[in-house]
Amino acid sequence: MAEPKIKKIKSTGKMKEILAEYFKELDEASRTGSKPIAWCTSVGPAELLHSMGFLVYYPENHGALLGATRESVEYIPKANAIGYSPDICSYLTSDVGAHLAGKTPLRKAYNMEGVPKPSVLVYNTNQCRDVEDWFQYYARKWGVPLIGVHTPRGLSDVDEPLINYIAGQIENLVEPLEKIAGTKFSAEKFSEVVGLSRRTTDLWWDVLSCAAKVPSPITFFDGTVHMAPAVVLRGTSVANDYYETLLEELHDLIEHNVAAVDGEKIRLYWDGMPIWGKLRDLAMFFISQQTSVVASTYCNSWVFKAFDAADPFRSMARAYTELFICRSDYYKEDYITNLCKEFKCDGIIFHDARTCPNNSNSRYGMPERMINERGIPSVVIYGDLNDLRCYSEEQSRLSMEAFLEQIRQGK
Amino acid sequence: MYFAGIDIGSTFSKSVICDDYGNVLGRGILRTGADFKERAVQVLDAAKADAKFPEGAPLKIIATGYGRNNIDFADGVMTEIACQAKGVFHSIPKAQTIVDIGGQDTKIIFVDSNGLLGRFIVNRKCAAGTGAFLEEIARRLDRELYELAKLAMDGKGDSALSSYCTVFASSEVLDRLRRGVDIRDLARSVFLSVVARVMELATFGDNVTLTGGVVANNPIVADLMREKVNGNVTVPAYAQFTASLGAAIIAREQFGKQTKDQSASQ
Repeated sequence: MAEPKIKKIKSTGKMKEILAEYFKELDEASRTGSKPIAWCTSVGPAELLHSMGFLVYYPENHGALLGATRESVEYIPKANAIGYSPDICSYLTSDVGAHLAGKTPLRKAYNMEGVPKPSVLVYNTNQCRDVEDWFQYYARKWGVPLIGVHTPRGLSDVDEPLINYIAGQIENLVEPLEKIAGTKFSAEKFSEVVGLSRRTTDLWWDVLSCAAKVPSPITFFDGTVHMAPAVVLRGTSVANDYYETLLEELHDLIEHNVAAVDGEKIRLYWDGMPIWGKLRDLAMFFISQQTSVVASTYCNSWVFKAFDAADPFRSMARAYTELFICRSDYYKEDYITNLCKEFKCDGIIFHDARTCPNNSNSRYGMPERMINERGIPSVVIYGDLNDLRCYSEEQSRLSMEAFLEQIRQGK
Repeated sequence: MYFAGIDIGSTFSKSVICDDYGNVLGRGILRTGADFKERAVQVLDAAKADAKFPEGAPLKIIATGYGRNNIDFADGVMTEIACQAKGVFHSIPKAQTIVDIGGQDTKIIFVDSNGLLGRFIVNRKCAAGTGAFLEEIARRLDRELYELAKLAMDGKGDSALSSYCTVFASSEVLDRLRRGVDIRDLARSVFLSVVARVMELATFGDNVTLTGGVVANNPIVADLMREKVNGNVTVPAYAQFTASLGAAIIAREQFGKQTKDQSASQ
């Protein structure tokens, strides 16, 4: 049998160009001090930072790059050896380990000197506590200010008192950021960036929604690549231009009935983190099984429908608090059920990522509830985002193959 | 037309040959070793010899097990989970929970009253609750595995080893030896811990069927399961061959009808 081929998305070239520009600007600022650089968690208050003149760097993006290049396997043990447990976030341990080794894939990929030096580290614990601990490592190392937002987790409702609480925390960031950036906060500029971010987010959702078509022109595995501008360039017109180009291409594919997976027979929902070092293998596996993974909690994490330029602080507070990852299982089960329906999914793959408990939803009985109460079958695979020591290829493949056999017998 | 299932498991390779009616004509079993394809040929030959297979008769083959994708002469491939469900239901046609304890992993497979594969659970990465765990502990006690099982039959007590981890469980064995625990009681604890690890994986239904090499070769596992499980526990006559039987039955389902149609049109 011929080896399955992953279909290329033409817009990828343009995405590579804009990412190269983004990293070039960061590298230059890091070398010359021309602009202040803020490190920000991937769903942190990036819009505020942009509006105040910071270039924004996202260590989680670096973590994903370390995972995708499998360099994480080399660096994680270095962080473990200085007391960072193998059981905590492997983005953290990959990144800290790479720092200890004095290495980064950014050198090869973007010809950068190294990771850009921050003027400030800004987090939001909406994802997990590990992001704060991660940034603390660098705060201690370099004496860089560490500020952030503490968001409660396991939320069923995102109500007004909570929004006030979070919005207040974001507003409190302004004063220290003004001092660090040496600029005054501009409400007008902030509103403009939030408006741009809203546009980015709408376009990104339009891209993801193309996968609701049967057959789907795009898969979860494509999404993990093409989400990069939504993560690192949201709030800029560059990201918006890119997604307009990508959307045009996807609409063309839909018009011509071109599938990402030839002969698409089964459609799945992926829950949890990607396994970065195995994305290609997994994409090929699903192609060989005529299965398209068409929806995910992960790629949807950068869809912030609450952004409102007319009410930037409070809408940002809402957008970053109503994320899937910090919600209760009641909310998550409704959310997944609705998406499975909208994207016409036959079942769910739950990825239980060893070092990412907050984004592993299979640990509190959800797979059983999804089948018993909602009739949605699923399979759990055990792996990790970056630590391939936690991934058993054969066991995962067996489970996924048997799950597809189970779905086929019911079709 | 004849049908064969070849199950290249992590420790043993098994093969079953059936006729048009699903009757088992022969079986073969060999240690898997390193060359899956070669072993598949050999184990199929063993089953053919057992079946007194007519030279040159038409044969359709489904491969399953860890090495399933290496058997390029097979006519199809299915996972051992689907094959296990098919093979067990062929012999015991009712809704049931299959507990398959193999060399490297343990699987819980739910089959409905129509024989359809439902949910299944594969143990996590650790070896606890598998044949590999028993082999490791037997080695630690300087006994053959069958000796350990024999000792366990005379053991007493209800104290399973507590650790998930095979290495930690080995340390626990040493600790119990140091405290003077009788080796028969210790052996019983080892098998109790296999049962405990298996029962942690899922809530079983009323009918439980045990399969796999660990069950086939160590009757104490079934005895202990009967003590612990609320329901009927059955061990099929050839508990190590159920996946290869299922593969042969799937071959019959996939190719049998087609063959008959072809012969009808000729």
